[in-house]
Amino acid sequence: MRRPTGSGVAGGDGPDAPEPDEAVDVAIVGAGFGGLGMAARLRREGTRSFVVIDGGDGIGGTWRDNTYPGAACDVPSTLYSFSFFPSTWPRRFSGQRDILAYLERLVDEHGLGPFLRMGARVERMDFDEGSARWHLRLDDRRLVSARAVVSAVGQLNRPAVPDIEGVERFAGPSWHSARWDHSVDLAGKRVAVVGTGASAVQFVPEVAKVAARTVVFQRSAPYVLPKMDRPYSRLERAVHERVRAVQLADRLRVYLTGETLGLGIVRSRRLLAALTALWRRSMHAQVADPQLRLACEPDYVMGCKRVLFSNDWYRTLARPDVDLVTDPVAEVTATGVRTVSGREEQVDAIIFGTGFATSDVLAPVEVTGLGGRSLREEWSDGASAHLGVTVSGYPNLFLLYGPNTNLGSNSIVFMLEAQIGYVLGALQALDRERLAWVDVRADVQRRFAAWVDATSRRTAWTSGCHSWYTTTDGRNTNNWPSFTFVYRWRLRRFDLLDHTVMPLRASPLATAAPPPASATWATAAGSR
Amino acid sequence: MTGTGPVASATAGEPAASGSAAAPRAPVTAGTLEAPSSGASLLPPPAPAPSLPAAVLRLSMAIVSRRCFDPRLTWPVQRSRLRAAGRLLPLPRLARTTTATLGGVPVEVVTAAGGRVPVPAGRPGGVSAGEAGLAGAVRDAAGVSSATAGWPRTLVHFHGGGYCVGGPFVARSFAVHLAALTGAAVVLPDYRLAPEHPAPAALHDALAVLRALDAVVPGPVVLSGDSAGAGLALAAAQRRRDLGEPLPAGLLLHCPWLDLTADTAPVGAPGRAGDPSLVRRDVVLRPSWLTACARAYAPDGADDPVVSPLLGSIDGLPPMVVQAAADDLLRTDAERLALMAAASGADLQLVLAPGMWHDFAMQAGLVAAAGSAVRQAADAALAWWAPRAPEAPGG
Repeated sequence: MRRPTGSGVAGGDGPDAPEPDEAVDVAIVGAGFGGLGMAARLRREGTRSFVVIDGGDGIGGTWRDNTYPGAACDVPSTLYSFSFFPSTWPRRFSGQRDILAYLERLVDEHGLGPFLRMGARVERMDFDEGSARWHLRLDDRRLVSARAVVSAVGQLNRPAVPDIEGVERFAGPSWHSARWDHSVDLAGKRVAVVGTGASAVQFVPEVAKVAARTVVFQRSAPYVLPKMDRPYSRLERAVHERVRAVQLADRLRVYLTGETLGLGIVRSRRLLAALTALWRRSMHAQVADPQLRLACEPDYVMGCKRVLFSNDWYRTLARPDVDLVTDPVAEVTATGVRTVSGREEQVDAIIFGTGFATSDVLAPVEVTGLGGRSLREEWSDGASAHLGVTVSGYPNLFLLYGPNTNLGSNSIVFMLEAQIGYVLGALQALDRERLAWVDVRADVQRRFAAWVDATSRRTAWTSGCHSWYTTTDGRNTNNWPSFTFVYRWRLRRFDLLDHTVMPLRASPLATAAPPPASATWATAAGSR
Repeated sequence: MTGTGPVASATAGEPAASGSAAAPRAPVTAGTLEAPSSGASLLPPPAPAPSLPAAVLRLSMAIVSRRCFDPRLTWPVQRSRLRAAGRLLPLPRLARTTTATLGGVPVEVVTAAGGRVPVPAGRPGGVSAGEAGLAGAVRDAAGVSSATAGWPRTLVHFHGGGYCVGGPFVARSFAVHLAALTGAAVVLPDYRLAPEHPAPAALHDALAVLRALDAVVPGPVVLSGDSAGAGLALAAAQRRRDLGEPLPAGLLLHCPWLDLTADTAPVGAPGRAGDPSLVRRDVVLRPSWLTACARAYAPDGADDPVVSPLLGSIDGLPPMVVQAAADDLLRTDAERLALMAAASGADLQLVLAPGMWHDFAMQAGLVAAAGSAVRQAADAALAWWAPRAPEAPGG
């Protein structure tokens, strides 16, 4: 393992600063797709010390948490993977296990193991102005000091279980889909599923295959489009492995498809109408019962909420042993679920596919910046960050997959790569200009937020439905409101002039030596 | 540049797309300025798109600077060459420039006019005297009051030029853009220059202008300056603090020249030439010219805060925005001021423009970075004028 250097800060820690257990250049919070991608790029650069901190006991983030049957990505794997770390995939839309294996391979091949600090969650992060360093307090009382922090805690990781009366009274087993209880065998059981979001659409068909009876409680119907999924043949896999161009071509094709779908949601009402027609044909082909068709009909414009993909969702709902209940749930009893109309379903297990707490990005972490300002207070009426990455008043803090960088129809990994490159640009600017920190200008952030608001007004997300894409007052705080190539373009380089800076305390007249080039990664990169 | 574009500004009179072709001549949007009393609701109009690649402008600056800022030339030759170069600087058409006298000091008052008042760009002094009932009214302090009536915000900007060359024309383009974004009247004092009038003549002129404005401007002014003018602004603020006079609402210091002792260091000391790579990168200034200016302005020694305000205290000064260019010999002065502020807890925001040269914001409208710097300055000034307005994060 490389020695922590702690180099390049404005000065030593103040006299009253507690002694950190570890001092690094970059602390990465979260060992999911974003955190590991950031770590891999830092490793390739090879000039900075870093650690990856994660409260879980294994890497993978979302892809470690969500082990429910049928868990898969709804973006084709050729695009839902890092461009700098290509892989061959068993099928077009890979399952959770294959994606987790990909991330484990990423860790292995980049030798990230020694940099991981697992099992302790970051409780708070405080910027110390005297030393120009972040202090990260972990829940095992350890203290990590870092020049820069990359927060890669994601948006979809804190299970949200609705506040239904009597949940604790239920005698049988119950769990949230992201904390699947694999010890319970659902074969022959009566199962209630609450929620019809992206997770439920994937696991309900699997549950229905084994359960004696499945009752699905739906608050609001989703749009579920067919998923063009299939396993790759052995020949295809061989070609993918040897001819990178084929995979690249597929990556481009998937990307353009995603952008076109996005166009429907973001701009073109005509395209939206065509997609809605496609959805209706597909749903009607699977569901014959007019009553059920009516229940499957969403009451909002397509795209306002997340559009889902599945080939067997409607087919499953049409099964005789599956019931779709649209009455709101009133309470949970010891033996089942009762709706407001008094109907009671006796079940042996309840599964909550009720999604995640999304609007409070970073919420479980207490963050204080310049002058002791608190990010929680700053964001109390909706998160906002310049380009989704930086927040004014919080120097050298970078968010991956931050506010307004979620997508309705394309790969988050594409966004992550843009953000990772931007962060690397910021770190390089710090070295090049001999700066202790950079902090995005308030007027720059405000101008960006105004652009997001104005652009979002033209999208389907703010067309009036209730979804996790918006705050309670209808402001879009989650999604990128334009094309993803626009995002990539705007993050193509880190613009130092958009930031206030603090020079290093060392004599400003001294020349800075260029950071030493490292060969640690070069050999490994050459072998691939 | 941020490329953020205009944000649903109902008052912005100019479509965003129109900038690229005619940017240098793009009219400053008039719509914003018709309601200058509407306070903080002013939304910045779209900034003119950059029309020159930075590399082209950088080369032009190198050529012009080499011919103007040359210690082997006499001061009158340098001044007339700089004046000639100033004619090349395009001005937005809707600028309104008038001259006046404040506290016995000639000043130029720049506003972004609502009407179409063509400014004879680059004419020495740039004066449109006798124009539209304004010029007659601004011959004395009371006149400025009427010229700034309806323009409740006033910003005083001291031009650069090493205390030895230049005039209001140096900063006119910057002033016009600032006036358009803030709805303020920008006063450009034509203070006396060295070596004919060494220190503290310039400071005396600066104080005289500020004292005259105290009597006629309703609220506190924002004090601004570029290069030597920024040093003058800081020195004036320090002096007014020491004398218990009204302080400005805030200080905008663009590429400030704050420590003249670095330029009058004895032979053998590294001084301003201590970083050879920075000397190479700076296309505008050379150490020998700064030394000549420093000796001319401070013949009795530069270690007095009156000429080197960095040696004075910044306690009790209003909030500051400091803009530095990365390829500028003077960036160290800005950096040292920022470190001083950090140590004393003063409110100072420093930005550093990578790849830019000394005084780049004076080419407002020509290069993207200048637009960004002007936007920051305007945003800060508006916040200082309306301190109780709700602020965004970090404000």
